Amino acid sequence: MRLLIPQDVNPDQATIDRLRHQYGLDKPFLVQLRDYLTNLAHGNFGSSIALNRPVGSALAHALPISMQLGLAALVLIIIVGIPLGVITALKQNTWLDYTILFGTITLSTIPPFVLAPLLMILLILKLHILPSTTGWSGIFSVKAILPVVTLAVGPLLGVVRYTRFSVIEVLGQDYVRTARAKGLPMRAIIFRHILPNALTPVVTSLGLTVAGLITGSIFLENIFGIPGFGQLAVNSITGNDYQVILGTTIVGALLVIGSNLIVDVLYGLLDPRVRLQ
Amino acid sequence: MSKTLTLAQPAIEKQVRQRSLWIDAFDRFRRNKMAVGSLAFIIFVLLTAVFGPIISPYDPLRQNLLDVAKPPSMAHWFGTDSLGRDYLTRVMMGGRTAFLVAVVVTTITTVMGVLIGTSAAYWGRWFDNLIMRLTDIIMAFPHLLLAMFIAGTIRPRFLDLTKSITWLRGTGVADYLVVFGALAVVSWPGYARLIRGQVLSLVHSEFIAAERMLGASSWKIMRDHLIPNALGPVIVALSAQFGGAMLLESSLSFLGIGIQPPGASWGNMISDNLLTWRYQPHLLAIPGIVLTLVVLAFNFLGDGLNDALNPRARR
Repeated sequence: MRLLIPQDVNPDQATIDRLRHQYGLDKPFLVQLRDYLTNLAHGNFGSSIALNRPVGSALAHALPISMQLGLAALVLIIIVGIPLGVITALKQNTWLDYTILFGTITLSTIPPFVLAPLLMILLILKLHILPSTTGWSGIFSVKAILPVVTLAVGPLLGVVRYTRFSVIEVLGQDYVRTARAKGLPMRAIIFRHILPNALTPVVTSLGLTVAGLITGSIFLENIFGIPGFGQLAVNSITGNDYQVILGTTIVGALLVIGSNLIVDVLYGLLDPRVRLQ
Repeated sequence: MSKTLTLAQPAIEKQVRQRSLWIDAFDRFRRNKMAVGSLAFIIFVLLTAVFGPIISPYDPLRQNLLDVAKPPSMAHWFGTDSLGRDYLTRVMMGGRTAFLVAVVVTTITTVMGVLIGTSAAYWGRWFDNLIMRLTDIIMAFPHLLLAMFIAGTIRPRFLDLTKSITWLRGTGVADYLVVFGALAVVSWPGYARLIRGQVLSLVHSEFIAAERMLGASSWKIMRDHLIPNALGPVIVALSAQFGGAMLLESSLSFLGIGIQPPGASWGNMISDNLLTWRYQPHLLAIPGIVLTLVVLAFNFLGDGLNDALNPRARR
């Protein structure tokens, strides 16, 4: 309780006791734990002390914003990452392959909190391509460009590598050789025979990007001043708002577990061979 | 003709036989220019981080308000920050933090991972199950989010604790301890799983069965056979772990829950200068670029070590 009170305020014992009672902190530890878990099972995350509102409503306000950012980044990852992966696989071991791989490895290594400022300096300060962008006014505004691009860069490497690996594997299959022997044009082989088979496993790698997107949003929302999930999480920790800390951490884990589950189910739908008997 | 051949061959064979696995690996590593270059760069940064602040004519904490936020010059190679401190010295102090955290966290996680992973694989059954479910739980959380959670919750308590110990007060030791703890908790499961997998593939091999039949104790088998044979992938993971720990430390410090000012960390140097990025972009760019280069170097080093130590896994 002492942690929540600003240092220059010196409350008397009665006030502390009243606040302890109000937040249920005077109960034994196990009772508090039971209450929290019971509430959690009913979808109630408790209430934030700093924001003076239920954690659930704070999350309901913040999550959609982060979801939009994340989905936009995911779309960008798909339309950039998969073609790059296919190109590297088809041009395997050429300079193009090495350049793309080297480039994505380097880009993905740059942490988001370094990449975002560097892009800001380059694009806004030096090249004047974008106007200054902080704050949030919807996903379709100019302000969203930098956050989405930066968010997409981190998980890109995994998708490119996975696509490359999986296309290379399919390239060596007998049916591709047959298609070639029949004299089909390369374009038809790629789109009809290689891609449908190669892209199924790529779905898995897309599911794995969710953790990366959450991590990225934590930094980017703080840099760009976007009132989403990541900002809520950081503010709660720097402000010792423990109910929100718990809530955001649990929701973060649920998102990762949920996306893994969706991927597993999707995988079964896409590829009948991996279905459970 | 045939005489020279018979003479030459035994000599070659002798030479080949003396080459141990490790020398072979070292030779393969030496041929990888990227990895050797990365290693050289890492050693360079490490040396500047350790000795730089000693050689530097500037005190990393000494503020000079007449020399605020100067661009790079001959006197201050990286310029000065918003409090007039020499930025090069600050960056080198940040390097100290990064390497210190990386070394301590990697040591803790390696020891934990090796002990827990080996015993889980060796004893199996309920113990293995328990450990694996525990790692499942920890790995279900995004790494950074869990590290934030742990750092955020144990921080106030640690600060209280160090306040009561006189010689620790105001040294920032508590910040380091919090970072060590948070990073160790999120990092050990990956390690333990890796080692467990390695050991599991060895436990059922015949030379272990033979050793057991000869009456060797569990401890002797672990020490003499399991751990040395599982070491290759562990060394590779070590390199990645080093870079990863640095990245996580900077991330926490960037978010304000890691190393606190006036302590220097590349992460908090970036966040300190975020608001003035328009006017002093170099203050923002320098620590970011150094951090990226070091992490990148560790990745290439890891790739090089992987090619050298696990030749079978090569593409």
